[in-house]
Amino acid sequence: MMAGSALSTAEFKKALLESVPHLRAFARSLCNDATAADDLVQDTMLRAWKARDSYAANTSFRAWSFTILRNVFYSEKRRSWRSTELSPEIAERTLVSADNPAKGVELVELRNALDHLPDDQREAIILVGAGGMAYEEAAQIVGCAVGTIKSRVSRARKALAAMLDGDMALTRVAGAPVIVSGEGAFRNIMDQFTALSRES
Amino acid sequence: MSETGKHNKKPEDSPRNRRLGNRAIGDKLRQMYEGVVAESVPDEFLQLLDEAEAREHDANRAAGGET
Repeated sequence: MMAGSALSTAEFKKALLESVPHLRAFARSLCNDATAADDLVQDTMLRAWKARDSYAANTSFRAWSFTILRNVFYSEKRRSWRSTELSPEIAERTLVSADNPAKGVELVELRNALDHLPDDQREAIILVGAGGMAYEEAAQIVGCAVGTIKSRVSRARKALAAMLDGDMALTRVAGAPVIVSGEGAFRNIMDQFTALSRES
Repeated sequence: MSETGKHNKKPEDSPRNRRLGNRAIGDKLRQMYEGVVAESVPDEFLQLLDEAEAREHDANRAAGGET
């Protein structure tokens, strides 16, 4: 029937549902709270469904679906996917798993650090460093050269290392992984690195 | 790292100061990402597609392929 379709409707549906956990993870990294992220994913799913004929056979489904999510995110940025400042409570609700609170604190720190990266570096490090995508795949999603992705990832890694080092040193001194103790100092450090990481 | 006109103001470039290596950062990033991937997906996500498909069927049937 649909001559251009690489997948049958059922196959497409299956592929899309299988990519939902990844779409949620990517969305959660772009948005500052889980609810907004899930809204973004659902929007993306509907767009992907309507655009399913544009998926080309034997290409990465994940990259295709991420590209749509990214487009939705940036085209509707005014709809405030990421309008709110990241608050520790929201970050915790978004990231902290009940069975391992200490790990949660570490991830909140990481999340805070990510929040201080320029958008282009953050998405590059999320796709490659967190999502495990190849540079080529990430470049396809972002729509830029492979070399550009590589340099963004490298700059993001450096900035993250600097920010997390500063913070982790503080929390280690405090002895217990309590987020409030290092918070003020952490903010300070990160404000400084915001300036550093935005140098061109 | 291809830019050459950089100022010499990035202390984090020196290995001595990089206590947290790339591997540790990478581990954390993957943990964060995989943590979300591992969450169970609420039913509403599946329903969303079922409904979209049903709507399409209805539209096609009613209009005989309206545009």
